[in-house]
Order: sequence, then C-alpha cells, then structure tokens
Amino acid sequence: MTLLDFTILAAKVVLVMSVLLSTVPILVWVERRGSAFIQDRLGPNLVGPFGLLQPLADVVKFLFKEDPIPIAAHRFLFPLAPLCSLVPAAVTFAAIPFGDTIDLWGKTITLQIADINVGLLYIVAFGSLGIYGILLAGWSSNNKYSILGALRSSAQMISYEVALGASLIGPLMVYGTFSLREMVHLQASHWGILLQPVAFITFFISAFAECNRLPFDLPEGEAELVAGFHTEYGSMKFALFFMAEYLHMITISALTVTLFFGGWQLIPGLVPLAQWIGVATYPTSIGLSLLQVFSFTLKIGFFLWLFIWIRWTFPRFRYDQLMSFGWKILIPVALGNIFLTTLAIYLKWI
Amino acid sequence: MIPINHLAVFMMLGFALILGLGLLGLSALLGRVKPDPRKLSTYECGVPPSGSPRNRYSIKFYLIAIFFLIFDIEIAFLFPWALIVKSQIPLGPMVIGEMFLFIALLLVGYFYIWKKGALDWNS
Repeated sequence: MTLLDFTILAAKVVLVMSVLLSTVPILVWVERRGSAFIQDRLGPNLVGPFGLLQPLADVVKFLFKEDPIPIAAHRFLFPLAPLCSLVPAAVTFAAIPFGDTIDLWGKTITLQIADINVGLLYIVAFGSLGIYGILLAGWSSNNKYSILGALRSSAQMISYEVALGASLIGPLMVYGTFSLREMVHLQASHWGILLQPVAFITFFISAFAECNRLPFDLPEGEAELVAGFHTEYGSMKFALFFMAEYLHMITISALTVTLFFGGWQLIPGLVPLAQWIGVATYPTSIGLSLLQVFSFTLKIGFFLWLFIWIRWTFPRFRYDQLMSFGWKILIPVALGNIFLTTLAIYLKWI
Repeated sequence: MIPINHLAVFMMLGFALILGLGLLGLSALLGRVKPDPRKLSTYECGVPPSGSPRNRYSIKFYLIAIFFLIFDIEIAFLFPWALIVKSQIPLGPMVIGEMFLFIALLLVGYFYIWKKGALDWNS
C-alpha cells in the first residue's frame, strides 16, 4: 500500500462521514417540516429561510445545555451508552457501495469505503450492535421508565432480527455472494425487487423495527414511558442517541437500495437527460460516476422520506400485537420465501 | 500488513469514536454546571422515586431471548448454504433436501412453542 492509496482512503472516510453527518440535520429538518405539513401545521420556520437553520440552532443549544448525571445513575456506563449507540451506527455504512469506480489522477478509485467480501454480514453484525447502547442506557439510568424501555427494545430488536436475517436468505440465494459490490453489478439488467418482492417486504418491515421507528417505536412510547430508554439523558448525550437513530435509518435505506433497488445502477431515463444537458456519459467517465452517485442518493432519499412518511401516518402497535406480528407472521413469511426461492432456482426460473 | 479494507473499517471506527468523544467533551466543557439535589434525582413524574427499578420483570422477555438464540443460530447456518445453493443444484437435489430437513426440525419446535402459548403476550 502506497502513501497515495492511504491518502485516498483517508479522504474517502472523511468525505463519506462528513456527508453522513451533514445528512442528519437535513433529515431532522425534513422530518419536522414534513410532519408539520402532514399534520397541517407550520413546523419550524423562523430560523433562516424556511427554518433551514433550525438544526444548527439545535446543535448550539445541545452544546450549551447542562449535562447532569443523575445521582442514582452509573457514573461510567451512563455516559458510555450514547457512544455505544453512535459508533456502530456510524461505522455500518463502510460496506455500502455508493458508486462504481471513478478515475482520478491516473488511479481507479472504488466508490466504497471498504469492499469487504462479507459486506452483508458486516452490516448485519454492526447494525445489531446498537442494541447494547440502548440496553446500557436503560440499565445505567436506574430509572423505571428507562429500564422498561430498554427491555422492550431488546425483546423487539432480537425478535425482528430473526425476521431480518431470514428475509436476507432469499436475495443471498439469488445473488450467490455476500459482497454488496457484486450484488449491485448483478442487478445491471433488472433490480433485485423483481426477483425477491416478498423478501423486500419482510426486510423493510423488520428494518423499521430495528430502527425503532414508528409504528415500532415502543422502546420510547412517550405516552406510557415518558421517553423510554433515554428519559434521563439530556444535552449532547441525548443528541448522540438521536444521531445514531438517523444514521441507522440512512444505512438501512442504503442497504435496501443496494439489495433490492439496484444500488448505484442508474435510474432509467437519467442517461438521455444527462446527454441532453451535455454531460459525457461514456463508460469510466467522471460524468457517469457522478450520475451513479446521484442515482444512489436519489433512491436513498426516497426511502428516507418513506421512513418519515410512515412515521407520521401510522399509529403505534400495542406490544402484544408487535410480538405476535413478528413471530407469527413475519418469520413464517420469510421462511416461506426461502422455500419459494429454492423452488424457483430448482426449476431454473431465476 | 493489514488489508486496506480492514484498515478502512478501523479508520471509520476511529473517526466515529473521536467524533462521539469530541461532542461529549465539548458539551461537558461548554455546558453550565449548576447541580441541585432535585435536578439530579431520578425522574419519576415529579414524585420522589419509590422502590428500585432493577426489579423482577416478566419471564416473557427471557423466553424471547432464548427463542432468539435458537432461531438466529438457524439463520446463521442458512447463510453459507444460501451462498452455494445455486451453484450446487446441478450436482443433485440433496443440497436442498438436507437444508429443508434442517428447517423442518426447527419448524417442529416452532409450532410447539406456538401451541404452548409462549409467543402470546396476553396469557
């Protein structure tokens, strides 16, 4: 490995992390304004044009707030919990390919931080590490609401983890590889959802539960548990939990796009449009690489909006409904999908 | 020599750690400190907290954790099989039969816990 390789890698890490972290405040803004429009309110509209600077004001506020640790809380584990939530959420994105390759300074650069040959396993493993943060937060707060929220959360996340894993088997059988980059290449002619529609539905539902988003936000359940596992948290510690949730959403959307919607494969109709504007789109041109990244971003943006849309449209599950839905409907459907996929492969349909 | 892909993951980890620690440190530096016994007491809707929160909890959570272990190990075994099944099918249907037998064994247990009512949260 030369110094140039190392520099490119460092630049990629810094660039991707900066984009990820600056997406979080934008998402927060979209969520607040979007929910306001859904509920026929105005939403934050005073700080900057259309309230665009509201997240920035929030960051300043978070930084200057007092950051107390309750007397009953564990002195060491209480501040550690938000870190345990944030770090896995931020690291998971590393295996996602956000473009094919780009030729710069005579070098071919892969548009992916780490092209791991077991990329899917890496994402599943790191994605489920976030539960330790929630569990630690709930236990170390020494608060009844927190521990109830954490217990609910862990039971919910491990239940839907089974469904999530089972719904990944179908796409794996079709693609025959763990590498996300190869999966995207295999979707050049048709997107994965055409071959695995059932897997997409079960995957997306369990992904919602993994992100603790409404209608699966029982760990917080503010009507019954105050704020669930982060009741005792304030200031920047609370903000870290918040960031972790949004980063998790971004990664899950990216994984959905990569598995089922062609990843960075161009959105149909984009090439004629680019040529009409005058962007060169011959293979290995910079224009084509940028179009790929643009397609990928657009697809992720759609799913992020879907997350927000669903959150402000559906009511929350009851806990027994949540558990019976996960165990009695999602898991059988996901297992049934494995049977169907096997049959289809055996009969050479796919 | 560490492979470049692994190095990338470690760099990501380092970046995330520095970011988290930095933000926490910054807010600890900038935030005002004015402790108050009532502010630092455990929040319980304004009344003094009664009893310990680390109490006994429902056995259902424990049961779910046990089921998770069994089912997730099953899924973990399915992963490598799913990788090779497409390329192995020309060698004969045995690769499918063996795995379906494995899943069928799990399904027996699955219907057993369902019938026993272990998946119901109302009972």
